[in-house]
Amino acid sequence: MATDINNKGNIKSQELISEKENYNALCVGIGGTGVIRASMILGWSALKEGFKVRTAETHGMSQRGGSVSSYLRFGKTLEGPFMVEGDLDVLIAFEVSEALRNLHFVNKDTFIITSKNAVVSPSVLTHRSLKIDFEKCVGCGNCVSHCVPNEVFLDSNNKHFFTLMQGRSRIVVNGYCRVLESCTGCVQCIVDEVCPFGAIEAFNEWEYPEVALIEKDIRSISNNVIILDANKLAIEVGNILTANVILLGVLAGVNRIPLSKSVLKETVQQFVPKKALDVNITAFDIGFEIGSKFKKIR
Amino acid sequence: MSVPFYALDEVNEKGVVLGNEALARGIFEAGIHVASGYPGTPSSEIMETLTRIHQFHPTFQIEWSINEAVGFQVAMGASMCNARAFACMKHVGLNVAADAFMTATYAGAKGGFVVLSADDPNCYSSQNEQDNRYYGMHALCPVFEAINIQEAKDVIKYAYDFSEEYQTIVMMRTTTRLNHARGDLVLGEIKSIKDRVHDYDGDRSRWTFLPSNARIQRLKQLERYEKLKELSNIFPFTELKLKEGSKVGLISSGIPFSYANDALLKLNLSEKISTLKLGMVFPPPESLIKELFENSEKIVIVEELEPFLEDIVKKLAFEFGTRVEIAGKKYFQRNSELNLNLVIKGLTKFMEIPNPFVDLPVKTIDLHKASPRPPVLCSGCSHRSTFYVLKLIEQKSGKNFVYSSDIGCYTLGFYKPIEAIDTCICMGASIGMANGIAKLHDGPVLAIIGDSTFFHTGVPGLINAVYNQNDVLVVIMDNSITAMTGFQPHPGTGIKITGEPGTKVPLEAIVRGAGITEDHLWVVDSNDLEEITKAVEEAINTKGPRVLISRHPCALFEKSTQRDLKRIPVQIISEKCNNCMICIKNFGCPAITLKEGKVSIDEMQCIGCNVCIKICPFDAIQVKE
Repeated sequence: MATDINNKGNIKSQELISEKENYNALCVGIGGTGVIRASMILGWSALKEGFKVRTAETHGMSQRGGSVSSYLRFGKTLEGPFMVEGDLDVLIAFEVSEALRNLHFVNKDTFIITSKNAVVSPSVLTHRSLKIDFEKCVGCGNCVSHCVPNEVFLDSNNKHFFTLMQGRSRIVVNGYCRVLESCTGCVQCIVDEVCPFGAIEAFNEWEYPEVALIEKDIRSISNNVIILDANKLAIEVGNILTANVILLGVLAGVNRIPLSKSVLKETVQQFVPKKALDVNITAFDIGFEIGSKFKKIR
Repeated sequence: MSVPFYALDEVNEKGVVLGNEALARGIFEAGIHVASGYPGTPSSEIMETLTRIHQFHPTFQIEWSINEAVGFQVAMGASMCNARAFACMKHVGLNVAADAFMTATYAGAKGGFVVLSADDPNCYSSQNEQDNRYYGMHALCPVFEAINIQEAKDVIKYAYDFSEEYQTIVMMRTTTRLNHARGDLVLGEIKSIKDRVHDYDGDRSRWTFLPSNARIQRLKQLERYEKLKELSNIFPFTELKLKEGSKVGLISSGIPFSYANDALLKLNLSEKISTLKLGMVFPPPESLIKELFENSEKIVIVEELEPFLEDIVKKLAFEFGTRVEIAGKKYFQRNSELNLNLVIKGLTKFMEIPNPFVDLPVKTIDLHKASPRPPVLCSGCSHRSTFYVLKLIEQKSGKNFVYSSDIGCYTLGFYKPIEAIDTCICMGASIGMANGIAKLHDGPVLAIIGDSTFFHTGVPGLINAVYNQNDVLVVIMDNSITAMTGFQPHPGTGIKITGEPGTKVPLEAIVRGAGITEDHLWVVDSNDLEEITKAVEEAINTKGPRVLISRHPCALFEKSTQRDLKRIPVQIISEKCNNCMICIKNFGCPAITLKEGKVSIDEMQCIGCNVCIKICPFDAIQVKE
């Protein structure tokens, strides 16, 4: 909801060292990962550094597991909240497949900081089913009699009234085994190898890509990539909710946009709950350490 | 409690705020007396911010009205009594208020009166993307727009002085990209308009639209419109920048102007194209447009949605007899919203220059392999159990149910795994359309409607069903809050916008008052599967108009407000679980998930509603000890 900044901003007029006039950053993730808050911290920091600030958010129904993007621009001459595709200075992703989804904003010099955090949408699970390879199937019906949801549905003594939804998931028609719409996609028949002919295949309408492949894609585009397990680090720090602050610390450490460490850190302190202040400062410093090391390696 | 930035007294303080916060601040700075509205994305935070300001500056009155028509009328009544008034709504809300709006604009305003229409290009959270600038044209009501956060505050503040000076209602038209954008804002002075007499002014013929009075007011409206046309040329937020030697002009307003500004910078055209930025988009500044004609060979109009300005400018070109080439929708799409990429694409085509931003390094990677994340009902949502039972009984009955639905969270029952919802058109249409479907469909017809939506426009449809004896089962999915827009209270909660107690209006009382008898009314707890099953079976087998109230508080709201509420999550007993996925595929609670191929409970998400325990055929889901 509303910005709850109690401090008055405390504007500092700092000399702009860089030659660029405008900067573009993009924070992405899913509802609840702190995307909007991180973007607000960056926005207030940019204001304190004396820039014009613009952000736009795409979230819709983020409480309900949707993707969240926050576009942040700051600088001297810009007006609108969107950057051109391929014109990003920094991409910060709080969920790794969201980084992939937004790679069209990236160029080879964009600094990409992403958490390894992978959250599979519940909808991926409800879009799973099975396919029968009719070249191999002889219609023996073994999969029909060994299908757990089918058994549940056909059990006339079933006291579980509330499970009798959907209906049969398997039948044999015209000498072939058929998968019906109420197949739950549990793939237990594949795991148990109930088909003697190996005719059953899993069919995923949607699939969450393998994290290693996403990493490969990200690294293939930009030379400046830090991928870290921010959630694990945050748990080590003592609070999983500090994962986004760790990523902001990394951003301060790599020092690619003209938002100074002191200003970022001070703004983080304004935005986090008072009781979680110490743990967030630790998180920021851990991130900063990781970010500044990257610079040295290069 | 510390004062939020937008409620500070200090002038010239700088901060970063949401567009809606800036708009609320502007309304407050203007010396508002009465604010009313109905929640609707992307406008809701304006009223919520005003409420926060009200906590520190209780100098005005504020309310959630039951719908936009009443909200508009509340503000109109206040303006009539010489108060500065604000009516807040999303774009489709103005359809609801249009009856009042179309006539109120004849009489105009007495106290400053701004009606805000928050449009939603690309239907981010709406059923359509209608362009409400046409409402201004239709009602001859001036329409103001802002290009950024600072202007949003300044324009709406200025709108109050303008409205009072010229006795006109003003429409402030925003879009999602302004409402839900953030930017830097400098606070201005808070006007105090205390020493004013507020009461009905006795000008009966101005406010009573009998035909004899209406004809006179209509003439006054036309007279006012002629004045507004002149004022548009000297409007302080309208700016014509003629560039020396330029033969090309650009006209734009609102957020699309900000894209145009950035596109010109990116393409290095800022000094080569003359620009006309409109702060008042209706009526348009005819003299300034004429001046731009005289200095240009071709003109491009950058606007979102309909060719509103384009049509006006083309008409003016015809009237002025100019031969300038005018283009708009030829280069910019009519559906969805614009962005910097689309504006650059359109401008380069118009200018017949190459687009330097087409060669993306990413083109070798398929970004669509990131699986989509469609919205689902939240974990522990009580709508899920209601839908589950309805679908179960539909399946057992062998009949085909029609689920006529409405605007609210429960419309997410359209998606897998529920796939129940058959219709959703506008607020209140669930019951209205069910009246019609019931005349033709052979089988049960259900109207699915939420509590807040029922208060908004559902009641007339129910009375209609009772009166005409239409065979409709109205299912009121009562989660005891307005949830899709973010937990706003409504008459059924008995809490006012300020958090103070109001008078509670029970749904049952309205339903009974509409003529539903006790044997046609069922009230159940959504999460009690046995109870709701019994009620649904009875209700389905009863004829005539009937109502089932399925009630359980919104899980998210309960979680956020009752932090000490004891929540006992469920667990999977792995020895019993067959991994059949019935719980995931048929019930679909996001807290039930797969971990390394095994069904498991995400304890961070499980709110302990315990409904899923009943779903598992193997008793594998149990309360955690």
